[in-house]
Amino acid sequence: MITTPILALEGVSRRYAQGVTALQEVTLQIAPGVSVALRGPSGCGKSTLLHMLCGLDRPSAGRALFNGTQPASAGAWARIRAARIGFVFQAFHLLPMLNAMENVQIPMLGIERNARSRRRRAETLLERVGLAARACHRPGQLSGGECQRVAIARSLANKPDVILADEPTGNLDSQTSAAILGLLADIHKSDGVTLVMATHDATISSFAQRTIHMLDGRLLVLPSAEAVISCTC
Amino acid sequence: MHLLTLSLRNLARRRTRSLLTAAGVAVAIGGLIGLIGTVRGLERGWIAKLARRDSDVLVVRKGTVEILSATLDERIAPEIARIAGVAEVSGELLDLIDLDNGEMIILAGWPASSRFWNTLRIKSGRLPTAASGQEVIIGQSTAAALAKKPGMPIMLGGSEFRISGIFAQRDVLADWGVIMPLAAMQVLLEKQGRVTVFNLRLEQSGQSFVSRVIENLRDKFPTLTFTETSEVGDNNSVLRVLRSTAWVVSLIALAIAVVVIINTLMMSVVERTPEIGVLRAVGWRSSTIFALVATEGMILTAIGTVLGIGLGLATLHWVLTMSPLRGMLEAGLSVRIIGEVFAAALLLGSAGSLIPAWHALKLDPIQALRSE
Repeated sequence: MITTPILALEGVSRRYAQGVTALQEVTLQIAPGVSVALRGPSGCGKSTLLHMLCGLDRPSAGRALFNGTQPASAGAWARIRAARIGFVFQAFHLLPMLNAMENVQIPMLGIERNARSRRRRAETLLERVGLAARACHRPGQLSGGECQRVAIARSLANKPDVILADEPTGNLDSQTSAAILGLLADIHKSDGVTLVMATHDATISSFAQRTIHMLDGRLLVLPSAEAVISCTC
Repeated sequence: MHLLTLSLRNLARRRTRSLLTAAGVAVAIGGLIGLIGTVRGLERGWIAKLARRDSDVLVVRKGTVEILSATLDERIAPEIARIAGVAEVSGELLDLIDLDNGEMIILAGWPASSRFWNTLRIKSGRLPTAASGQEVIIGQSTAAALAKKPGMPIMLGGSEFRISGIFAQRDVLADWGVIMPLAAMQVLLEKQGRVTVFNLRLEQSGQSFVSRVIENLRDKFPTLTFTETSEVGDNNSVLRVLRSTAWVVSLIALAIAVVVIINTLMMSVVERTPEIGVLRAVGWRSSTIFALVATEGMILTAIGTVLGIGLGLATLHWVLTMSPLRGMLEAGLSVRIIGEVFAAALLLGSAGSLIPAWHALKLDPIQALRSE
């Protein structure tokens, strides 16, 4: 039985007004529950590809699909991101005036109407990432690794099917990086969440089931749809 | 945590800027409350003065812009009194005059036969006698300000008069007034045979009856203007000009306040561009981002408006009690007017936050995320 890919790009290109081409006719299908590392040097189009996968950016050509359908509008993509996709950034992007507990609740505003439920869920997530004791600390009072743990907890706020991580260890030392990658891998295994990590770090590949190499906006190893889907081991 | 929490935290991040913005709104609203309150206070003071004497119709010369400078021939009074429905005509000479201490008061002259004398509540002394020609009765506020008692002299327009008594009235205009027999005031002002207005009391008070009598009077006396007492404020040209001026100045102040809000929120949105990108990335809908920025605008406006209402009321209190206008106006702001100002300010503040909120919506999330 062929499973419908949860994320797919069909002949996607992204050209900017300045004449720069970030992606060139990329076709990719990612099955539900797999973990994929997107590897390539800086500027090769990894972040752009992640943005295409979650509808943050729109293709100049081709189409992006979520769960086999093409969302009709930016609003439709926003609803998908809110409910089904979690995002982890290299620079954490936590809101500085909110503490860890409040930052984790950000994606839940507008999704979970009950404030007490939001709080309980945030407490559970912070406990899961090992930051229960730091719940009331603001980003400025946390280390880089702790900030990234909060960002991971935030990405899990609405129980997503997919986590997209853009250079999740890019701002961390090697020891902290390993801990963060271990945490992501653990979440992937225990929750069955699809994990796509963009990185230029070779060590990340060992945490993913599949590695896709990128250069100059193209996939160097073009996995067939079946190949990726078959990775749902 | 709620959306409101996030809006409050955003404003608290730039506390000085937020407070200055609220202060700008407060000054605008305070100015509006002060100006409108002052004009309405003048209006109410004037109307109360007439209404509390049971006067139904005020008669002035046609084309009069400023009532106190107008004069009428007092010999018209008997002719007006002959019109059906008119129960009583009482001439009154009015003027503004400076006292020795620089206080400005209303000076009124009434005929000896006027029933207005009977409306005065004497606190001490007695009414002035027409025969003496040099006696006045003064309001208790004037007496208190000048430390005067019955029997003491008072200088009016360079002439010395003797205080026969002190009266207390509920309307401030009278309470801060000085009243003397009409003949004496005509001599003092060199306006022999002239009065400023006629106050008419009609036989009935029904609206249709009053309208009918006024119509009849207008036919018979085309050179005079007959105005119902309750409409004096609306029809007075000086008050109309003051009212219009107050509104124009207030609207300019409000417009400046809205620009200040727009500026503050725009700066805030631009500074928070990466954060807005994150909110888009985590799936916030456009409407939620819009609501976040608009809520910040409304909070700033609400704080500024509350402060402004306090400032405006304090200004009005000062105008009523300490300024040169003391005694000229009555507190004229109702809770309803304050509520309307609050609602209008919130509406304008919200409208002002639409532009920054729209700007936030239009941010490209990718550019926003990369802008840090």
